[in-house]
Amino acid sequence: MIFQPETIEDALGLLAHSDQVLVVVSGGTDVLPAIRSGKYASRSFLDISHLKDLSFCYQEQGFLYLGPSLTHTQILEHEMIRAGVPLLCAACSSIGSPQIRNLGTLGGNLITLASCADSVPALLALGATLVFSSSRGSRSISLPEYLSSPVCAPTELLTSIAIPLLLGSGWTFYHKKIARRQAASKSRMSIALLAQMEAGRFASGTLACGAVTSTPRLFSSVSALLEGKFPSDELGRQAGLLVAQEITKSAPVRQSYLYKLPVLQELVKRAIVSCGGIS
Amino acid sequence: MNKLEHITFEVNNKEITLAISPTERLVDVLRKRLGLTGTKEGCGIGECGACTVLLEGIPVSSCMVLAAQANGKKILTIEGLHGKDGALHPVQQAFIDSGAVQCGFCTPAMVLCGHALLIKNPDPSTEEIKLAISGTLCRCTGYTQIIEAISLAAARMKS
Repeated sequence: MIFQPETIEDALGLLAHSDQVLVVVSGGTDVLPAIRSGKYASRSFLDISHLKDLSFCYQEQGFLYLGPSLTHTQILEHEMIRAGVPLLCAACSSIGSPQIRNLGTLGGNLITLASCADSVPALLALGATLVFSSSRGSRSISLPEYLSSPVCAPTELLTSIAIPLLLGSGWTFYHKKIARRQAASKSRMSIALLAQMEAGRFASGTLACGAVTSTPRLFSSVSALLEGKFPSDELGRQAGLLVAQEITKSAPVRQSYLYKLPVLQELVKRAIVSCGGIS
Repeated sequence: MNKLEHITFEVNNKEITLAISPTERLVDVLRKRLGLTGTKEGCGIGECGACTVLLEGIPVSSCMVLAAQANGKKILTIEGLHGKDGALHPVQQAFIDSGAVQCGFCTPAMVLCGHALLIKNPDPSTEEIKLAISGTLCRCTGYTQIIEAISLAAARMKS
């Protein structure tokens, strides 16, 4: 069976009263390959792709609120998002191909929770919070907290993504995705650094990486290292080392780390040097 | 409640109502049930772009769309693209004139991507054309002629 609710309330009602866990279809770009591989045999689906109420974008009380059904293309083309969170646009522009960006949604990229989900490092660096709703109410959870225990009840739907507005001046960012091809390719790794510079020094810096550990992650030790320092090759080298140490300490060593860790360290260095405007 | 067993959608300006199964893909509806075999299926996992159609004027991989998602929407396939009085569309004619058709497997998708681009941006740069076709693979690697064809179509449509 497939259900096509007319409102969010209808969708939440269907999730609450269904006798089986419904597979939610937003853009469909992850669900369709799963159907093809036989993963969802005899399951029922909830198609929310046409719910315009989940494709919003507005600013309120210091936050930018994004609807989870915004496609990556809609994010790239939205003036408020381009102006407010260009780091997210850089990340979304690296996803798939134009045809996939026209279908795939921000919410889908988050909920699928692939290690290589390209929007997630950017959302981590931006300090995003997720809002889940069910017929019984809503709850907010910070993205790092969600990633550490990604539990979404079968009756819940991701209904909003809140990103703090960047206040003050001196904001800069770095984003890089490494993949086999420039288009339609999964990340080998990706990195997002959001920094605020004051008089040439890092007032703050938030670094996140994707496709290296089981889920994208933040590196708070790097934030502590950067604060108050002038960007330099040496600072970048130290930060890269911290990242590599943190990864090897917290996760089982993978064969791919022989390649990934040295490349990641170089990317971290480039990110830090780039945010300082040093060529 | 809200259970979907039939869809009504517009394909090439013609309204169609069909019974669907929940996991049926748009590419299969187009090719197998409506006989619109101009839409090709290559990889089936959204990487090659051969199955591109325009959904509400936007290029999408039809192997990545459930038939249900097309309910109430407008679809344009290569069969529905034409110029005035049944002539070829300027993008199609430019593909012929530029020698941009080799084996032809990617051609419907490339033409539709070019058409969608020119509607949005009548005077695209080479980089913008490259980006617009970047989701469609040409196994014959005839990208240079394809880019030239879209550029030629843009020039002709302007004049």
